[in-house]
Amino acid sequence: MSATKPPRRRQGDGTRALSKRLHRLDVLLVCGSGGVGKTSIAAALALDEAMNGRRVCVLTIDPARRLAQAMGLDALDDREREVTLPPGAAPGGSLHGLMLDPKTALDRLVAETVTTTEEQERIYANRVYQQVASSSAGMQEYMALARLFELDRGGRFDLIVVDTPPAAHARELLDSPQRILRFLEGRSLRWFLKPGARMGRVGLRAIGGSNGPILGILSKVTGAEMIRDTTEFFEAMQGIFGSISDRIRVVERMFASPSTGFLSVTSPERESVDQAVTFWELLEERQYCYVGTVVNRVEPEAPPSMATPDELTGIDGIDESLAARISAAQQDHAALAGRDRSRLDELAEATGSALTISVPRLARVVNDLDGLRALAPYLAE
Amino acid sequence: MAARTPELDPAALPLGLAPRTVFVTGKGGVGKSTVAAALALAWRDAGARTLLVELEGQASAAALLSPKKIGYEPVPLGEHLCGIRITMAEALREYVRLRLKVKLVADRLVGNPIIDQFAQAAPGFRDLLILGKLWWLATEKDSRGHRKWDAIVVDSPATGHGLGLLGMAGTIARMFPVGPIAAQAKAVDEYVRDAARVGIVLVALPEELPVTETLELREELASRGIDVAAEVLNGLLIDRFTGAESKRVEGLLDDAGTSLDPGVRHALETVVWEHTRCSDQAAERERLEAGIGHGVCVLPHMFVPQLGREHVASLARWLAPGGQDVLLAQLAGATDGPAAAAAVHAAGGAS
Repeated sequence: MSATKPPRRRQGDGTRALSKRLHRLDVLLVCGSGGVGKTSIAAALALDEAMNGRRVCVLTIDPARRLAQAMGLDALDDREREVTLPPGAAPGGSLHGLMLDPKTALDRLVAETVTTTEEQERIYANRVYQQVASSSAGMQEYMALARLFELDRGGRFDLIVVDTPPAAHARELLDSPQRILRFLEGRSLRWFLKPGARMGRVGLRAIGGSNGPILGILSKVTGAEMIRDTTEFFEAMQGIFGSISDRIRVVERMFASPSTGFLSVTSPERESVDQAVTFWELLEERQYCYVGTVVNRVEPEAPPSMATPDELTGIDGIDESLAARISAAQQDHAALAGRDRSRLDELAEATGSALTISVPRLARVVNDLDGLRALAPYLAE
Repeated sequence: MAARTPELDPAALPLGLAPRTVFVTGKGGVGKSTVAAALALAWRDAGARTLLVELEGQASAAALLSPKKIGYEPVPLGEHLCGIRITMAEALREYVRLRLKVKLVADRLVGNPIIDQFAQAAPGFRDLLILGKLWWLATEKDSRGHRKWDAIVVDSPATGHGLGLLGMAGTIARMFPVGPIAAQAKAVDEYVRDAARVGIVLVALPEELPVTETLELREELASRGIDVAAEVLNGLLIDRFTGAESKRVEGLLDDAGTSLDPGVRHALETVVWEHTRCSDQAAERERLEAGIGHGVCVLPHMFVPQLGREHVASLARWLAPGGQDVLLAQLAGATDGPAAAAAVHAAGGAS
């Protein structure tokens, strides 16, 4: 019933190489812009590695509950849930899924690192903390990294697959360890922790040194309340900065480790392919391990000669009108196939020795384990 | 800007919406930028002075309409149509200037590492600045005291991040009940919640996960008191084949086995693929409309290797009431369904 063809030989070497490369990895970060099927690819790879006998955990920080749907789970929460593997799995293999809830993840971090209940309550009660905990921007990247650290340290998994937020934020994901470290260790934080800073505008003006006038102006711009609350937040959080810094350093080392790989997922659309190339350049520059690019939803290649309307009309049951429409449809799809082919070539050329793996568009959207299984042949033999 | 005020044609309003500020949002990859550009064009065509807004870190919607490079000041993209790109740094500089009224100090302040760190660290400050700028644009008057813009179309971040942006003003207003920030946050929050002035346009694709996410987002927005003005279902394939025809072709493929000429086989497989997609899409459209409780605006899938300006112009015509009537009739399988569908595919636009 499906009009999808089996994997093309042309990418055969690539797919074998992908599965080989995955075996050398402890952590795989799957990156890409929104809507390219990144979650499905991440889940399909995780499932495949689990079927091959590895203990795999797939972690998502995408705010949408897509991974749960794709893996047939009712819900994913802040704890990893085991996915029942379909029959035929190699012994020892297992698959867990984990979706982060930024709010509870941050509370948990506080609970684990701040010892006294009193201190904890003070942090939970801070308005800035509440805001940071409930807003998604920025926090998710950090929480994902912290959680990745916990999972990796636990030694319970052979491979952790991370479904990262969309690509506009992929750079943020890479940069966030450095950014947070700079922030925690930098002079601006020390400034926020200065005793005078919380006294409000008068207090701010009273502070000497080069920051004095700036503080006065800043408080005029934002209001002294905003500065005071922010300062209180940093003070309250001071106790856990140390453990955050420790984790971030570990995550940074993990990024640079040869057993951590980055896989980019893209659609054949121009913007998406360009983003993949930019991402590859970024990783090359940092000498991180770029595993390859999966181009998803590629139009299957059309045969060298198309069916003419006359040829089709000759077939029993196809009249002239139907033949004309079939021919038009074929032309449309062939044009897309030609475009996709040249995008794949461009990508392969731009990203040098990295793998380029093509996954065809399927008639039906992948939304269950069987669907994920069906992707496997295209990804790893 | 042209001095003449355009005449508004109520019968030509896209999505049936009077001009206002809209945030065009949806899951990643659903065509937010395309729909935003088409909507801006459609409003302009209906006679509204229109501003298309891009945000930092987003794809360029204006590039779909004009090769002109746009920046923090509105750039004409056509008659009564301008584009603007809002960046955090520019918005911060402008805000500080407005508050301090001294340009030199403002310039020195922006770029100062402490201020930059503060803007990064202070929760929501960034989003508030962007919303504040939009609010300012929406209330901006020309030299004769008329509103400068009838319609503002914002190509917004994907749902996860967009939600944070829209909810931000109210959150800040609650966090900082007094002070200069609070005054702005309150005004911005009132603006964001005024359904006559601001609305959300949700873009979805006729696929399971985008539809589910759209339904969830609607609920989430409703719970925050933010109105969804319209939903656009993008990328609908118009079925070129009837169910009977697809069945017949499927039978031919099964009977022929491997004996078919590759060109013919590919052609027949294309029929089955397209019809399957169309059926699945129809089911998803039904689920979306049932969940929302009313019909949604539809846009056709464009069979083009790369979307160009002429295609966005076609989409703008489809968004207008006349274009919608044609599309909806065809999706409903109008008498000459397949033939008309072929015409849609070929023309890529309403007459």
